Amino acid sequence: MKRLLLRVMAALGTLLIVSVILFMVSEVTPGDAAASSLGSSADLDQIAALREAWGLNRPLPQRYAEWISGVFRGDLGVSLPTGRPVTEVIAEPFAYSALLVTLAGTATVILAVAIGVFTGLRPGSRLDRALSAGTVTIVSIPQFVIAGGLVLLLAISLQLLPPVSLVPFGGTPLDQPSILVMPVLALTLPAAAWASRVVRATVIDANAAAHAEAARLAGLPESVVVWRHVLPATVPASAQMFGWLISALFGGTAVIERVFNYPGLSGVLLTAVRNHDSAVLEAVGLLLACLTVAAFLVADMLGVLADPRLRTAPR
Amino acid sequence: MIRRVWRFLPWLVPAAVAVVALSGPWLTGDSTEMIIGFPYSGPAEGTPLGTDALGRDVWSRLLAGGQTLLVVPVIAVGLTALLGIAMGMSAGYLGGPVDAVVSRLDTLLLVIPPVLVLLLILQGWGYSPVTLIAIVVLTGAPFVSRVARAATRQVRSAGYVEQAVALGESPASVLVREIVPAVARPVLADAGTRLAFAVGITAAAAFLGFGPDEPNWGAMVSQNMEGVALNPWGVLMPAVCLAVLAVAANRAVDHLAARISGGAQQEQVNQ
Repeated sequence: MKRLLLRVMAALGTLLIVSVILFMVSEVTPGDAAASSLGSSADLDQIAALREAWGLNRPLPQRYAEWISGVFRGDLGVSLPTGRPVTEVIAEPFAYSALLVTLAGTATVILAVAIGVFTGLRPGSRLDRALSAGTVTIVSIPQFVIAGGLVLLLAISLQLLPPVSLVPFGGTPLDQPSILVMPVLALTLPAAAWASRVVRATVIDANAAAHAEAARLAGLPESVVVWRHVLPATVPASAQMFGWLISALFGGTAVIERVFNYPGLSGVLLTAVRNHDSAVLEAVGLLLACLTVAAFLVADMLGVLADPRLRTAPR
Repeated sequence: MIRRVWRFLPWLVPAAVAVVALSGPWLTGDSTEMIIGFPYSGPAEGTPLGTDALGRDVWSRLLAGGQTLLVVPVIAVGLTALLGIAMGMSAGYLGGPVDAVVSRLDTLLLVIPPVLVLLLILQGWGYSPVTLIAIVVLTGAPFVSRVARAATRQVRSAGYVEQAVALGESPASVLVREIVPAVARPVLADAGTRLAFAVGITAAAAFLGFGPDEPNWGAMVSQNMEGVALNPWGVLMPAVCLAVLAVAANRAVDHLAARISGGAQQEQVNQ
């Protein structure tokens, strides 16, 4: 229990420092919202006036303090170029992206565990070598290339699915599930390929470990050895890896949504970068960092549940 | 002899892609910017792969569009390895406050998704080879640093290192002569994936539309996506080239790494 509390405190500390870094990097970089929204024809006086009006020339620590205290109250600030609250700008796209991440994450965990455990128990077999070659290849290929390949294959050649994932007007992506298939596939394939390699490696290690050998020598049936002794030992490392998944999948959606014109975070982020809309970037960054840190906490807890040694081991 | 030829055969296509990527911009000259037909025309005489969204020749843009995607990742991954090893080794060897600071920094950088690092840097400093390299280094160095730190801690208390210290070798000499070789192995085993990832993130920057309007495979995929039903070659060929380049980069580095660190690493490389 004390350990849990310590971990949560450390996680909160990490997030606080991340918030400082995010704010500093996006505010200190050259250019700002005032200059970009007035365009290149504006003169310096106009830019200075707008900066004054938007409060961009106040000291950085003061602006950070205002921003972060707002964040604690659930107020993510205002998107300066549009004048809309950031919460309103990102809420719907974030939900759409989160839908993709949830679906792809579930598929990834199932696939990665199935393939990883299956090949990890039979390292060097023909099927293992074939699957390993396949996963290495998929891991290497950029995600948006896989997405483009899916469009060419499933939408253009076979004409099974719509090439773009437009959400029906006034509806949600769930009204037309066929538009979700390709984005989810494009996210799942590389993630599952990568995750299955990690699972495979931990299964190989656990299978060769002394405690598994001891169980075998004691005459336990192979299925009991695998279920009771090998697989539980793989949970801590595998859970860590699934912590990465959250960050990897959200990062993936930000790129591949563009292939399908899917109305998720990608569009919001790209517009924000073009307009120097720092508030939106900071908010999304902090949100994703929170999710990643939370995922790691859960992964840690799962590891402790599966491996009693970790409950007492010093870190 | 025949076996040897067979062993080189799988490398022929990637090698051709790499040579074209490197020399392409000098082969095509101005023909990449000329509008030579209607947008998204199919293959015809003189335009073997048809035209792109603006009616420019896909073939010459394909030849010219790979250079950045090969040169930037190679330089960036080299720098990533150097920085990551330096960070991880000092953390693992010196321990104490240095370790605390470096480990904290690694965690911080790992919590922010790489795509967001890319967007933040592009927002401030725009798209250039230098910013692309910075993005790859910032997103990759924490991973290398963690690997290097773990490897350093493993050998720090090994007999041969303690002996070197006891013999009065300076810390710098111990680090370079005793610890670097032990750290290089796990870092090298991971380098292929790092390079493939660097190709991916470099191409993603162009794909997301940040680059200048010069030929680039990543940008071609997104620019020609809209007309993919009319002229699929404008998407297919740059996508295939990128895939071949990334996969070959991974395999080639893994191959080299296995050569350098000997047969013992074979199993790890195959994972």
